Amino acid sequence: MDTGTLLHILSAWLFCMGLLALVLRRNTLVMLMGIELMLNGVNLSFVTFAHELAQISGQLQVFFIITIAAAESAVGLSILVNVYRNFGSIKTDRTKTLRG
Amino acid sequence: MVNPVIAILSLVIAILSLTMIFVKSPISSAISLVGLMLALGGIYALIGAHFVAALQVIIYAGAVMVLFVFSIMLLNMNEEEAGEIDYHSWKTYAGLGVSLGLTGLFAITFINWAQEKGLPVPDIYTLEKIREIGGNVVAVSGVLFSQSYVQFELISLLLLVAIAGALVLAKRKVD
Repeated sequence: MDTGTLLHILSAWLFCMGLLALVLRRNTLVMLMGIELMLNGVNLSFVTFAHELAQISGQLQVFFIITIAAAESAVGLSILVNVYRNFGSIKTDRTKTLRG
Repeated sequence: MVNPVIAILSLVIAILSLTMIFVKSPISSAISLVGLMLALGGIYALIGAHFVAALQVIIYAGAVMVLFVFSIMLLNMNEEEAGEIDYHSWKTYAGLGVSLGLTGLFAITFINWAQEKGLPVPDIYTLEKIREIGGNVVAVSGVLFSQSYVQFELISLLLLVAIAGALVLAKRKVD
């Protein structure tokens, strides 16, 4: 097994563990961490492909993804603070105004 | 052959991702995520993506995780807020099965990507070529400010909008 194969498997693992955190946990903070984990898996995939194909554009995309992820987590966490203020909890079971 | 340091870091990342999901308190999840991101930065540095490694440590392990830890502190959650995994529900095991199956599927796809239509022709940026140019950061910035400077400017607009949005959302309403 070469390094590229190992890193491809690791990126698949990271993406699916992020998905698992998103599906299993009922705490919105940990769900946001799961989204970050999925983005990290995608980043690792980009860098590995760029490494294998002797490209530089994959690393460029990672630069953009990291910036967007930082913006996303800033907005997401301030939404979270607002949810906590309005519902007194950040568990997803409590916020069911839109469920009808 | 796999670089042994990369293999060890991969193992650490796999274990830390599991602890992030299955540990109870959010602060332990956040600490495992910090460790995971630092280890991932190490892997990036070892395969020659130095600029991405620096960004990973500064932005992800630094800024984003500080934001997470700060909001954990701000929210002051009690025991039952942790949102523990419900081990009695079949949905938990269905999610686990789907996730592990997807891992296998993605891994097989990624490993076999070259065999499908033959190897794509590699670009010029081999490690030797990058060393000749003057390092990874020089190569990345060369491409960034020649081919994709429009995206770079648009990203700055996005950051401005995100700052405004976060401020408006987190501000207390004053009558």
